[in-house]
Amino acid sequence: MNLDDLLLRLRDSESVSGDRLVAGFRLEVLRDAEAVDPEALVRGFRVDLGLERLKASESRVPTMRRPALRWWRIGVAAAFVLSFATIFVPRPRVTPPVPLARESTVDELWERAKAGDSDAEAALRPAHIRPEDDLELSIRVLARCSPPRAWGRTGADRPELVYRNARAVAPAHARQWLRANWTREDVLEAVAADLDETDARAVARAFATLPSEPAIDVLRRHRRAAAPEIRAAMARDPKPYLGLAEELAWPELTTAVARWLDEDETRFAALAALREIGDDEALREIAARWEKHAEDLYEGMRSFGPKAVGELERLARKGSRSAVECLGAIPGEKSLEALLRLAGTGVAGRPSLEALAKRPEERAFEPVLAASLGRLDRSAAAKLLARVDDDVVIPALIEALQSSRTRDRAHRLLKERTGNDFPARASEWERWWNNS
Amino acid sequence: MRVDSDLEDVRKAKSGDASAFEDLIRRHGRDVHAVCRRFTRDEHEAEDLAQEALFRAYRGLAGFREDSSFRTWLFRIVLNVGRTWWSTRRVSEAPPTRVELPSTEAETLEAMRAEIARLPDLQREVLTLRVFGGLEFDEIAELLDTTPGAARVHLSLARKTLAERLEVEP
Repeated sequence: MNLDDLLLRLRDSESVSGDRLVAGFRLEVLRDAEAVDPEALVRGFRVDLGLERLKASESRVPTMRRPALRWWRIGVAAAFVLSFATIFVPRPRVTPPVPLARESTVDELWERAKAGDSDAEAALRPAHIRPEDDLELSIRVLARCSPPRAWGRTGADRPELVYRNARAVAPAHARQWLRANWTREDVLEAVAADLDETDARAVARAFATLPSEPAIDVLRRHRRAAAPEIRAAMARDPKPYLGLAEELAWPELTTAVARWLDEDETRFAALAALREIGDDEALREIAARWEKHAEDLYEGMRSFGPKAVGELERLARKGSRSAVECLGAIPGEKSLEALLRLAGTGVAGRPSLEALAKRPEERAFEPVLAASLGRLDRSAAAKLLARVDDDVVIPALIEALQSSRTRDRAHRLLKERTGNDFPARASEWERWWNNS
Repeated sequence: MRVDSDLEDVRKAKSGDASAFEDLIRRHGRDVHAVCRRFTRDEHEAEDLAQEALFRAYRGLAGFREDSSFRTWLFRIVLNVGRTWWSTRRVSEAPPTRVELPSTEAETLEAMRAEIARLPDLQREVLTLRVFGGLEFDEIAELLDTTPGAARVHLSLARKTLAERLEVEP
């Protein structure tokens, strides 16, 4: 035989039936009910009196006649037995520790309590309350004798009244009830104006499960107190907090949102969110993931417009052709300048020139080209000019003649482009160009 | 689900329905009694103790906040009542020292009772709650303010000791 068998046998050998325990329990309840029954106490008191009298009479035995004494004893003993029997004879049903009043009694109690009878009010139990009839009275009853969950019945309909009234009467209960219920939007909405900072912190914790306008209002008003909870919740799931965190300009907002970029399912939502945030950090976060997800991030980056040029140029210099393409798709001087700078580089030169060549129609092209001419790599410039029509190149070169920094180069390029030898003066070139 | 029916009955009992509490007794009473038996010297004491614990639970039901299972809450009461009983009676009724190896089954079981009573408190309580109360290790850990892993270790030690002393296979 092993130990488990022995333990099981021991347990089985000692087992008692549930009904036996229930019977014992009923007896305990009965005894308890009798122990506090005022009538039983009175009966017991009478018995005590009888015994006292008996003792007193026994002390006076010599003065009493024997038959009288016998009947006295019989009488006292009978009274004692009867009293004892009425105490311990079991009643037909178990009495609960807090007996509920009958319906008719409840009606009476309720009406009396409403009329101001404090005894009647003290006899009322949570099960008797009628918030629709008298909310104040219901709240007082709840506050006096019930655990917080009993507030639900009242709070279900009138959370704001329960809360406001109850805070004065039973703040601990009210707060506990509220915490159990403020995932309900109507509760939050109703009590938002009254919440203090301690409540707000708990709201912040609950907020992760209930992003709602009332909750945001609460958090906005108590942002300092609730900040740690909001930040912790935001680290788990930033989505509900975007608006709020953006409003409060929290730097970690961008980092939190950017984490979504790593997930296929959330990447586009994250891009949209980062576009909303729109700061340099958002751009850096997107750029950091460009190598892996360039195709998905392309449109998002482009939507940043000229703000994205710096990051895209940096990516392009690392050899990202898609970054150059993205730069080419961003209209404006900044991207043109960046492309011109890139045009002279080994890694991004060719795609940059291709991108530039697609944009001569752009209003900024001529001035940018003219201004950049001095910095443009010789071969890159030659390649660029070879790709762009005279209508664009010649005015740009003529403009470049105006600046001492670009004049020599523009002059040389003009000669190469037109095959004519003209003085290096813009006005003459201009006249020549217009007449030719 | 036992937990769901427990909660339902607890709520009914709180609102004054004593029969709901009787259902709870039918469901958990045997385990309560089995645990109480380990704190007492005989059957009568065990029943008294179980009744005391159950009645205390009934009286204190309004204070049960439902932040743990009813069973855990109930056994916390059982443990408190049992420990008090044990501490007031153990000194005067010290268990026998070494038990001679028994021959009949009744003697074997009596020897086992005595050996369980001799176990260190924590080991005895873990063994009692696990084997006789049927509680899970996380419930035991919560009741005894320890970890489920530690509770397992104490149970293992208790079993080892019992097997050695009773000279049975562990």
